Amino acid sequence: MSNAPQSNSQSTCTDACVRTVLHEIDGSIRFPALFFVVSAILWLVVGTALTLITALQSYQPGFMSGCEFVTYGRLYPAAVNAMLFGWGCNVIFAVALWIMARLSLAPIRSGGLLIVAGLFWNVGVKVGLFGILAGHLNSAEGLELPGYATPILLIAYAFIGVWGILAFRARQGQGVYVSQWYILGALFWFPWFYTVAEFMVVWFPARGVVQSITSAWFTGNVQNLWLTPMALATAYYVIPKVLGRPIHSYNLALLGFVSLALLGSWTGVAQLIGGPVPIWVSSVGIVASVMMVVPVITVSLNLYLSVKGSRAEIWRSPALRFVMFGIMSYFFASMIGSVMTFRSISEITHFTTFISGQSLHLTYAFFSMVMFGGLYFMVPRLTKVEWPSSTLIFLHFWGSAFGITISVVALLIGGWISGNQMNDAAVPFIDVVQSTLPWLKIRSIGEVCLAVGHIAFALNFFWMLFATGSVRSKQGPTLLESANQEGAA
Amino acid sequence: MKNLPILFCGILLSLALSFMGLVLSSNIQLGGLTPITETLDEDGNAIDGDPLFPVKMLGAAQQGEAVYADLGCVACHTQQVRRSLQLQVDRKGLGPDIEREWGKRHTVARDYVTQGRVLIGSKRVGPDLKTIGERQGDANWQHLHLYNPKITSEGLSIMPRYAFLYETRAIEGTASINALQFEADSAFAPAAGYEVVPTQRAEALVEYLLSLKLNYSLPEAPISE
Amino acid sequence: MSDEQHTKDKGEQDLHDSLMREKDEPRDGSSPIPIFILFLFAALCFWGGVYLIKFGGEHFSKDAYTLDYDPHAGRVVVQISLRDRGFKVFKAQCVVCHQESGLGVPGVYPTLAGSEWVTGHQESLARILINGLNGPIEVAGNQFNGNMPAFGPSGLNLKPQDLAGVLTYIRQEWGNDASDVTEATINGYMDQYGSRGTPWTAEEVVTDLGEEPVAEAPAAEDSDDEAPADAHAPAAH
Repeated sequence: MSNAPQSNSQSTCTDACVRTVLHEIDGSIRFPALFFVVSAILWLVVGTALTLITALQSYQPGFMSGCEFVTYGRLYPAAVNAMLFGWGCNVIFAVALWIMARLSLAPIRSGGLLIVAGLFWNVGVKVGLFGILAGHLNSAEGLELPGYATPILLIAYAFIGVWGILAFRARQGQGVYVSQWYILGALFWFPWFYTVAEFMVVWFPARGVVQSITSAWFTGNVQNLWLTPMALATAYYVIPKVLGRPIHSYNLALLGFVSLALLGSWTGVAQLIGGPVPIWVSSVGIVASVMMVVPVITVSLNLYLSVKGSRAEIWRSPALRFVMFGIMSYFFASMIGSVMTFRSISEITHFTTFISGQSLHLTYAFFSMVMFGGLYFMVPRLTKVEWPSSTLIFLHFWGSAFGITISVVALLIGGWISGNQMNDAAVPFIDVVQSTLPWLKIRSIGEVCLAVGHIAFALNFFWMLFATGSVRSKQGPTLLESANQEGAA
Repeated sequence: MKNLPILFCGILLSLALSFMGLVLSSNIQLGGLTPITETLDEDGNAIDGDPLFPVKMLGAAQQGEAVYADLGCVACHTQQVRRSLQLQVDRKGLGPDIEREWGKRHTVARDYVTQGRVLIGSKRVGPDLKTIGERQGDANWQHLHLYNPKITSEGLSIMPRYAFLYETRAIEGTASINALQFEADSAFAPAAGYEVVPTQRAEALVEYLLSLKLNYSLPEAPISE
Repeated sequence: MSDEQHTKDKGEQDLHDSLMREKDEPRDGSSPIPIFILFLFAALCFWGGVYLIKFGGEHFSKDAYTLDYDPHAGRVVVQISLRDRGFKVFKAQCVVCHQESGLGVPGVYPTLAGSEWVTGHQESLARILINGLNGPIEVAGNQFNGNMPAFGPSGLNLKPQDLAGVLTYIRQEWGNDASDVTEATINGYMDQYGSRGTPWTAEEVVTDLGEEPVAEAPAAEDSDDEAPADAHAPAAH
C-alpha cells in the first residue's frame, strides 16, 4: 500500500491507505460491475413489462391471447425467469461481487473474466426466454428455462466462480467478515443445486414425483441459499458503511448464518403438502420452515440493533431506506411464511394466489429492495458521479414501496378468500374464480406503481451513466431530504 | 471468522445434507416405483395376469401431453387430488378435492411413474385436471372450451383463449366431421358458411385431456365405494 | 464529524468525493447472543422432533401418504373370489386355444362349454391341468387328437390357487354348473401328481380316481361316467 498524503485531520495514514486501496479496487472492477448493472436494469425493465402484461392477462383473458407466443402459460414463466435470471442474477453479480472485491482489500486482476461471464449469461437468458416463448419450456416451477439454455448459464457461472475463488484467495487481512460468508456460501451453493436440479428434472428426468420433490427443493434453495444470502450480504455491508457503526453482534451474525445454512434448503418441499408424495416429505419441510424463524429473528435483531437510533439517517439515505425496507419485509415475509406452512393454514392457502403473494413478498419486497439499496450505494463509487436526481429516487422508492405493498396485500387477501371458498365444496369453482378478480385488478395497480418506480430508476441511472458536465460536477451525496447536517453516503 | 476450513466444510455440508435427505432419499424410496396391479395377493406381490396401472399413454394422448406442457397449462392447473389434511377415520377424503368430485381417491407417487414430464402443478387458478377425462368426457365440449373458454362457462372464465389451435375456414361442400359443434345462435359461432376445425395439436391435446382419468385403484390408495 | 471536505490534492490519488466521505469498512461488535434466541432455538428443535414423530408418516415410510396410515393394517389385499381369479388366469393362459367363448376350435381344441370332462370328477380335470393330456379324446360327442400342455410343476407351473381358480371358473361358466375346486383340493392333487412328468391319456386320466371332494356348491356328479352338463343359467361374472 502506498503512502497517501494526509488529506484531512480525521484520516490516519492507515485510513487513507485503505481508501486508496478501495479506490484501486473500485477502479479494477468498474467495467464488469457496471456491465452487470446495465444488464440488470435493462432486464428489470423487460421483466417489469412482461409482469405487467401477465398481470393484465390474469383477469382479461382476451388480452394478447391471439398469438401462441404470448399466451399466458408461456408469458408468465418468461416474466418470472426474466426477473430471476435477468434482473436478480445480474444485480447479484454486480453488487455482491463488488462487495467481495472490496472486502478482500486487494485489487482484482481478472475483471475480464467477469465481462465474458456477463456476456454469456445474458446470451443464455435471452436464448432461454425465447425458448420459453417458443414453447420449449419445462413444467417445473423455477426450472422452466429450456434444457439447451441452462448450459450457457452454467458456463457463464463457471467464469464467475473462478473469479470468486481468485478474488478470495488474493485477499488481505485475516478475518472474514459476515458478508463474505454469505457470498461464499451462495456462490458455492448456487451452481451445485442448479446443476443437480437440471439433471434430475430437465436433462435426465427422474421417475415420477421425484421430479417434483427435486424442483420443490430447488425453489426453496433459490430463495434461501441464493437470493437471501446475497441480499443479507449486501445489507451487512451497506448498513455499517453508511452509518459508520459496527454491526451489533458478531455472535448473532454467526448464528444467523449457520442456522440459515442448515435449515434453508429443507424448506422448499413444504409446498408439496397434501400432494402425491409420502407425508414425511412435507412434514420435514414444515419443520424446517417453522424453524426458519430462528435465522430470521437473529438477523433482523442484529440489523435492527445496528441501526437503532439512526432513524433520521436511514430516512435520508436512499441506500439505507431501500435496505431497511427490505430487511423489514424479510422479517414480515418470513414470519408469514413460517406460520403459513402449518397444515391448518396451508389447507386454506395452498394453490391460491396467497402463495404467489408470499413469493413476491420475499423476492421483491426483500431481495430486490435490498439490492436497490446496494446499487444506490455502489454505483456512485464506480462512476465517480453522484445520482443526478433525488426526485427520481423519491419516485423510485415510493413507486416500489407502494407498488409492492399493494400487490402483496392484494394477493394475500385474495388468496385467503379464495382458499376458504375453495374448501367449501358447495361453492362452484367458477364463483371462486370470480371472487379473486377484484384482487387481481388491485394487484395490477400495484404492478403499475412498480413499473413507474423502475422507469424512474432506469432514467436516473442512465442519466448518471451518460453524465454531462452538470451532473459530473454535482457535489455530495444525493439524499432524499435536504440535509441540515452532514449526512450519510 | 478466522477458521476457513470450518466455514467451507459447513457450506459443503449444509447442502449435502439436504440433498441426501430430500433428493437422494426420495429417489431411493420412490425412484423405483413401477406400475402395479390394483390389488396385491396375500404375500404382498402383484397378481400375475392382472393389468398393471397406471397405464402409459400412447399415441395422440402422449403428443397431447407435450402440447399441454408447451402451452404452459401447468401455470394455472394442477393434476393432483389431495386428501384432507386433518386426521380422519374413514378413508374418503373430507377435503375439497374429493368432495368437489375431482377424483374418487387421492393421488399417490405411483400415479405419475409413467409420465415423462410430471405435471402436478402448484397453482389452481383453474380447477384440478387429474380426472378431467371423467368429468368432461365429451370431445366437443373440450374443443369448445379450448377455442374460447367463455363458451362453456357462461362468459365467466378467465382462462385465455386458444383459438390459435383452431382454424376457421369456409365450409366446402358439407361440414367436416371434426368441426366444432356450436349451440344454435351462439354468439361465438363462426359466420354462416364457415366452420371451426381443430388442428392436429388441438386434437392431440383433447385426446390427452380425455385420457386423464383416475379410474383404477392402487394397493396404497384403493378406491373405496 | 465532517467528512464533507473534499480533498483538492490531485497528487497521486484522485480519491473522489464519495470515497472520501465513506465510513470505514464494516466491522462486527461483540455483543452476546440474547438468551431468548437460544431458548427459542432449543424449543423449536424440541417441537420439530415431536412434530416429525407425530406427522412423519411412521418413521418416514414411503407408503404413508395420509395421516391415518396404519402400517400394522398390512397390505391392502382384497380377497378376490376363486372365479374372478380363475377368469384372469383363463384370459391369460387358456383363451388362446379354448377361446374366450369357451367353445374351442372345432376339430382342433375341445370345447369347455358343455364338456363332461369339465363338469365331471374334479380329480380327472385336475390331472389334465397339472400334467397335460395327449392323444385322442372325445368331448361332447366330438373327437379331438392333440396335446394339452401341462400347467403344473412339470410345465407352466401355475400356482395352486390359480389352478383352483381357473378350474372353478370353467366349471361355472358358459352354462356349466359344477362345484368349486378349492386350493386345498389342488394342493392334495399336486402332492400326488406334481412330480409326474408325462401327460395323461384319455383312458388313464379317469382310472383310479379317489373320492370326490365334499362339495359346498350344487352337488357334482359322483361317478366318473361321462355325464351331460346341467343347463343352468350361469351366475353373472
